[in-house]
Amino acid sequence: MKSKIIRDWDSRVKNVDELHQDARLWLSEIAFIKDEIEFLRHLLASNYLDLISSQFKKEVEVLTKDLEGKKILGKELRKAISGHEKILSGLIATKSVESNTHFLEQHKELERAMLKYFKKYRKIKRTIFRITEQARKRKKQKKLT
Amino acid sequence: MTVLRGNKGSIHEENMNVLLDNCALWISEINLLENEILFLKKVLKSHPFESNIPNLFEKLTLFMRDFDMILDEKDDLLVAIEKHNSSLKKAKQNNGGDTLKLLLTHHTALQEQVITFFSRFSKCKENLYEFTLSIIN
Repeated sequence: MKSKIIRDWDSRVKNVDELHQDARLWLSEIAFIKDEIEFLRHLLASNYLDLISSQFKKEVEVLTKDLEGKKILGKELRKAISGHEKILSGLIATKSVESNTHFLEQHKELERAMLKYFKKYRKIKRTIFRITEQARKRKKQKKLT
Repeated sequence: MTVLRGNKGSIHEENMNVLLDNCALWISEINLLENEILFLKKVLKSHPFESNIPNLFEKLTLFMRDFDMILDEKDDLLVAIEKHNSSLKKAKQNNGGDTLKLLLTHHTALQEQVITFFSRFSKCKENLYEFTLSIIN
């Protein structure tokens, strides 16, 4: 994910363009994750991954719930970012972005929230990949015995 | 705090650590990507779509080909990152010296390469999700 991959090595205050760019990137990543969640939920609900009939039924239920939670959180974050963008537009009009420490702090707060969101979402994905692989191995083993 | 001096002004050790953190992050992201592609290929191989969808076989073949290309590219990128990572570690031990400017330039170029690579992967996934969701909905 782009915003995770790009990390500045200079600890400096971001300019207006960069603040805008951050918000746009976050919004596009949230939209992408929303589609990905739909895709994963569809897979978990179906039997393509051999998970439902396996002993991972409980895990699948938890994962589906976790994905739903991330979808809701994504929606909330999107709302917060859009509000933040509106404030930024107002501050640009009055040329008071850099002097508004509260706004810059709020931006950092959103950045932290986004990183936390990505981290937790990736953890869910890792679990899905892991149990899918385990289910595949068990199925293979069963066939051999 | 140790200050590493390079041609691009003073670069603090903590900044050098950020570059090293970047490399660790890229490597971990690429490892996750590999698992994700293996997962997606397994999904595609499990024939999750109705066989009456027009050009289904061609579409699935194209998805597989795109993911395979990314997997191939991933190997070269990993080698480049690991090489850069070693250079950074060496520069950190030797207090940077004249190589810092070069390392920073290389880091920026590598970052661009990583971003482009992940953007392409996202595009491939986007195509797959779009296709899948259009069938579900």
